[in-house]
Amino acid sequence: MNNLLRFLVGIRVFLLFLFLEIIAITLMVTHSYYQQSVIINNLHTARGVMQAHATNFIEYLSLREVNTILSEENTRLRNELSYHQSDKDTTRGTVYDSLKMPLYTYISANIIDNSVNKQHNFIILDAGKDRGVEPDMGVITENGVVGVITAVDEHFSFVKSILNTGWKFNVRLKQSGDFGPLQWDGLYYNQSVLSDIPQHSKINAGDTVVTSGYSELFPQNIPIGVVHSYEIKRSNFYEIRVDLFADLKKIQHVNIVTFLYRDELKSLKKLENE
Amino acid sequence: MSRHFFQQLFYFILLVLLQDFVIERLPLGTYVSPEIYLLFILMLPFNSSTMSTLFWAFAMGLSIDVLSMGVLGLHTSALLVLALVRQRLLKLVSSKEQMESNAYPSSRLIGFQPYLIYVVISVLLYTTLLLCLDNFSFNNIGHLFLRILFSSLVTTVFIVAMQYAFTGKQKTRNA
Repeated sequence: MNNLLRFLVGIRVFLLFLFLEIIAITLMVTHSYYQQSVIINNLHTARGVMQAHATNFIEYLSLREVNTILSEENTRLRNELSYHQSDKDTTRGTVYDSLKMPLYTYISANIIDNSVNKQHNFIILDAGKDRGVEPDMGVITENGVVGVITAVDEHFSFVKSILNTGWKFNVRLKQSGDFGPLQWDGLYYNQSVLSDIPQHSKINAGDTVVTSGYSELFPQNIPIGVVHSYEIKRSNFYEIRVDLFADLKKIQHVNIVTFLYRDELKSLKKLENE
Repeated sequence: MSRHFFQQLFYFILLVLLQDFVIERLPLGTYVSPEIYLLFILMLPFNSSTMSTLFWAFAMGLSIDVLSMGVLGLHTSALLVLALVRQRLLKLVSSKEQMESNAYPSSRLIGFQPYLIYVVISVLLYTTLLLCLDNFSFNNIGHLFLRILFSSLVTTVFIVAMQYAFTGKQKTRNA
C-alpha cells in the first residue's frame, strides 16, 4: 500500500497531465453547438459588447466601400422593382394582391465576429431571439450564401459559416441544371467544392452556381459563385471547384432568411419521419 | 508568491486579449495563424513546477478555445502536451543555476541561439499537434504540412520579437 502511494506521488505530475488532458479531449469529442451557445450567452455582456465596439471602429473605416455596395444593390433592386411593376401594370396604377404574401422575408444583421483561418469557422451576428431569429435559418449577403444559424440566444446568434468543413447544402449549376452538395474542403477561403455532379452533364469553367431551392434555408437562384475548375473523382462524378462571390473575410452586413411556411414545412417533415 | 502570481496573471490576460482582438483580426488567410499566447507558457519562470505549468496551460487553452469559437478543448489538449515537456526543453538550453532562479526565460539570459532553439521546438510541437487535431484527418496532407510550416514560422517570429518587450531587464528579479 505504501509502495503504491509512493509510486502515485512519484508520477503525480503525469497523472495531473492525464486528468486535464482527458477533460480537454472529452470537451472536444462531446462538443456541441448548444454548449457554444451557452458560452456565448454568458459571455455576451462582456465580450459581445467589446467585440461590437471593436467591430464598430473597423466598420467605420470601410464605410466608403459599404456605401458603394449598398448603392449598387439599391440600383439593382430599383431596376427589379420597375421591371416587376411594369409587368403587372396593364391598366393605370399598380394593383397589389393583398392575399399574396412574400414567401421569404429577411432580417438584417451585422457580423460582430468572424473567422476564415480554421477548418470549422463560425460567425456571430448581433440579431437574436429578440428579432425573431431561429436555428436552421439561412444567412445570405448581397453576393451569395454566408451560412446557417446553429444556435440563438437573446441578442446574438451563432452561424456555421460556409467555410466550415462540417456543413454542406444543395446548389445547382445554372446552365446545366444539375444539382449537388457544396462543401468546403478547408483549402482556400474563397473557394468551395461541389461534388456528385454526374459525368454526362456539360460543365464549363465560368458557369454560374446558384442555390437549388430544395430546402427552406435559401430561396431559389441566389448566385453563389462560378466554376473555377473541374475533374472526375470517385468513379462517375465531377468534383468542381467553385470561386465564391462572397468575400467571407470582408462581409459585415448580412440578411437572415425567414421562410413564411417554416413551421408548416417542419411539421410535414416530422410526419414523414414518423 | 503573490507578486509573481499577479504579474503572471497580468501577462496571461494581456496575451489572451492581444490574440483575440489583434492577431485574430489580421488579414492572414488560411495558411497562417500566429499563436502568440504560447509566449505565456514559454516565459513562465525557470523554476515553476510542471504542476503549475499544467494548470496555467489548462486555463490558457480553455480561454483561447472559448474565445476562438472553434472546437472546445482543441487548444487545451495541445497546450497541455507542451506544458508537460516544457521543463525538459528548458533544461536543454539553460544552465543549472538558471533553472533554479525565478527569472523569466529570455534570449538575454540564455543567449539568442539557445532561446531560438527552445522556441522553435516548442512552437513546432504545439502547432503540429494543434493543426493535426483541427484537421482530424490526413486528407489534405500537403496543405496541412504547409499550414504547420507557415504558422510555426510566423509564430516563432512573433514570440522571439515579443519576448524582448515582455521580459525586459531582469537584474532586480533574479533570485
